[in-house]
Amino acid sequence: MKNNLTETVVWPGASAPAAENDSVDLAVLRGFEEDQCEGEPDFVVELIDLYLQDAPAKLRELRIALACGDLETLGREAHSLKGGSASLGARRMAVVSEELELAAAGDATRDGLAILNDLEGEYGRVVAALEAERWQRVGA
Amino acid sequence: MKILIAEDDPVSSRVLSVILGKWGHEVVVTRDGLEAWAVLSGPGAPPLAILDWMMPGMDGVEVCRQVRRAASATYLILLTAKSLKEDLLAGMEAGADDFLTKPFDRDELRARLQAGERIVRLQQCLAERVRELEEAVERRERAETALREMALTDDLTGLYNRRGFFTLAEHHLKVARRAKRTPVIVYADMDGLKRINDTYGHQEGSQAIANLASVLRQTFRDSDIIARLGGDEFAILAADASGADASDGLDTIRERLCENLQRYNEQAAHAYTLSASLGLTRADTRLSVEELIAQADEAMYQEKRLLKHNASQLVPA
Repeated sequence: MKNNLTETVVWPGASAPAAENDSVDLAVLRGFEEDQCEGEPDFVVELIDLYLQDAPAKLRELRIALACGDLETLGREAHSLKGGSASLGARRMAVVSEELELAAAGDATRDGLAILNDLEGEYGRVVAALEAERWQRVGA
Repeated sequence: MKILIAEDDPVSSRVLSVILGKWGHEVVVTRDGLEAWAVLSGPGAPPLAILDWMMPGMDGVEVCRQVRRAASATYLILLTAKSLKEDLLAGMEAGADDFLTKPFDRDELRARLQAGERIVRLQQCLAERVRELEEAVERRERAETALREMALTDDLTGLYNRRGFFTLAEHHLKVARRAKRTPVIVYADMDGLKRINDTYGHQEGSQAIANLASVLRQTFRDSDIIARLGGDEFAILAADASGADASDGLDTIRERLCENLQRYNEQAAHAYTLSASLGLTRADTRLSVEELIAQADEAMYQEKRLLKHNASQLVPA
């Protein structure tokens, strides 16, 4: 996971990561081009930045909530992360978030910590995919 | 249209606000339910709100509940990943008008917004219409008041009122002066109105006043000015029938009125008898209406004193 992230950031020009990394459905993400306002900064990039700013805090909240057994916060943050991820086409991220949300509601399929670890791993791949897309769009 | 967004997920919030902005809406962005409720309950609140179901602090369903508790007509769309029927029903019960499932589809968003806008416009039309109607009612009431203030007739009896009497009597006196005629002024004070009111109620009192008015109408001619000056006071300006001897004319009028009252009391068979104290005077056409009324009033008191109250009252023997 770490490898993937580092690779993308260090060699952003490479086309390989986007092709190998299917954590983000680029068709969904690029669908927001439709909403681009003329003369405004790239809208897809704006959304990528918003997501990358917001998600780490949510993951941190999830870890704290899980450690404290605060199921309400766990459920709410997982739900929120699910929404944002699904919007950008991060399908697996959304699915695992939902798994955690359901776990918070007492509908666990496996251990909460295992789900959260999985979620963080998936987030790494999402970051890689989004960074690659970002690089391709603005070159920075 | 001004639209409020309440959404804690920054990506969804931004997408929504950009799309709505592109469609020409003015967007107010809030991050949680409490912030949303503060805007919706404040001045200049947006008529339509898109509320995320799950938010920290106050969730979208609770915002719906608060808005409806405040009897606000804001059109509320709940944004949710939930699509269970029970969830939707709970949202509707809390006061939501519509739902939008996340991640939303632009065409669906547009369609649901159009439906919402239609309702908002109808509500605004309705509010505008109510305001217009209230204004119309107010205008009409003002006009009616003005009309009442200008009225020359008395609502209860249909006779002239005080203003009517003074307006017409003045004109009449001028004509009489030129024609060298001497009209008669009659001042009539209905007896025992207070007693009738106290014993049989005000409605019966009003009826008694109206009955006395009809007796006066029978007694005098249409061309005479018959008026209720107010309360139990009446005044009549009559063109003198006899035209000859002064006292003769007055007596004729008095007798005729007395006879009519007596006949009325015999026929009506009320628990009380209708009677009035009278003061009659020949109108000196050089005097003002006020002076002539004062003269007739004085004549009534003279007569009352002279006849020790009872004899002058037109109670049938």
